[in-house]
Amino acid sequence: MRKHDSMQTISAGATLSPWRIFRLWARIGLESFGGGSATTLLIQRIFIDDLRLLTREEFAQLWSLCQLAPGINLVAICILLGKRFGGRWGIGIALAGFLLPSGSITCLLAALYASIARFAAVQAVVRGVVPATGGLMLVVCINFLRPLFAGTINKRGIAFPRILTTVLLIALAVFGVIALNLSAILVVFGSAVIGALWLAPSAPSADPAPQETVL
Amino acid sequence: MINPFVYFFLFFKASLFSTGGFTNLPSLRQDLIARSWAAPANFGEAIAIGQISPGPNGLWVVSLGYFTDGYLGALLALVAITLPPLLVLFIAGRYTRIERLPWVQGAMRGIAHAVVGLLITVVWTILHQPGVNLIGWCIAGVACMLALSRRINVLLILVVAGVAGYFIYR
Repeated sequence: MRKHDSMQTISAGATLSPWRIFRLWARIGLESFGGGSATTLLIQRIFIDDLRLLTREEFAQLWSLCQLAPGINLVAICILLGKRFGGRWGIGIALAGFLLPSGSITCLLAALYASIARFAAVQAVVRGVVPATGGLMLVVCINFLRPLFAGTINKRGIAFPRILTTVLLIALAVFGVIALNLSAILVVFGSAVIGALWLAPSAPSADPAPQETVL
Repeated sequence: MINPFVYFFLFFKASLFSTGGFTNLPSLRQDLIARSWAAPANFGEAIAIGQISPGPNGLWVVSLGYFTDGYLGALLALVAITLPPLLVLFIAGRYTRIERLPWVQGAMRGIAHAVVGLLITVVWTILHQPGVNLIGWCIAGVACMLALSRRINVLLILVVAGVAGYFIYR
């Protein structure tokens, strides 16, 4: 990443060149060894921390939309960010950059793995990599938690009811999936219903995010 | 003989009625094994590849495509998992028209909580795989701390974890 990229702040209406979009997503696809956790973390680092094209809250909002879409959430976020910074063509370019190089390597690795999987050394390496991906996913969790707890501790004190609500809703989702074996889609929509009934503000927001910040 | 159209449809259908990278597995397993187009072992092998290969975990189906139908199968699987997430554009378009409504804002807050919960279940699932013992939990903790420090590239963290796994488990 060039130094000046990390220093500048780009406005909400910023666009990126097709080649830049392709390179960014190819980098995300190729550098994010370890699966979804590593990929999400890289997207956050590049678009939020390095390029400063998004805030954490904007990313969390886009990611929430992706939970409503079928299929791989990372592909959905790639589509949304591709459109936001490159329009319709940006979608195809972002997808091509994200999936073609990494998908090709995955295919070649499958061919290679088929020939060496029997070796103990390969199995040992995999046993080290798999838990590390769990640790990376935990970092992604923490990044998504931050906006939920934002403002709960300030000069006026600690907002215990809000903290308890947050913890309770998260625990309900975990319990639903792990203990009750509910489908992820059901948990997402159930949480949406609970949120609509319980977490809705008393009045419409006077200053909602502009449309451009979503797409 | 695998019919490529049916093969593609099975992957597409599994992705269309799933969320995330792994929830299409039960549908694929049921459909492909019923047609004798895949062996049960193919799924475990494909997921292992998905864990160590670049890109999203959902690309495990590319490995499954290769194991079951060679390079054509990998290509069909890749296209099949790319199309369903495009519906996010429809969802986002509708969302921008109703985002001012209080109940919508509440619903999105609720979903944000569910997202964190689902991510925790993924961490739980990863760390409860066969072969992940106390040492594995330590590797996860170190990887988490290193990533939180933001000083070390994610790829380097995984390389170090792989090297550690080699010396610990070989």
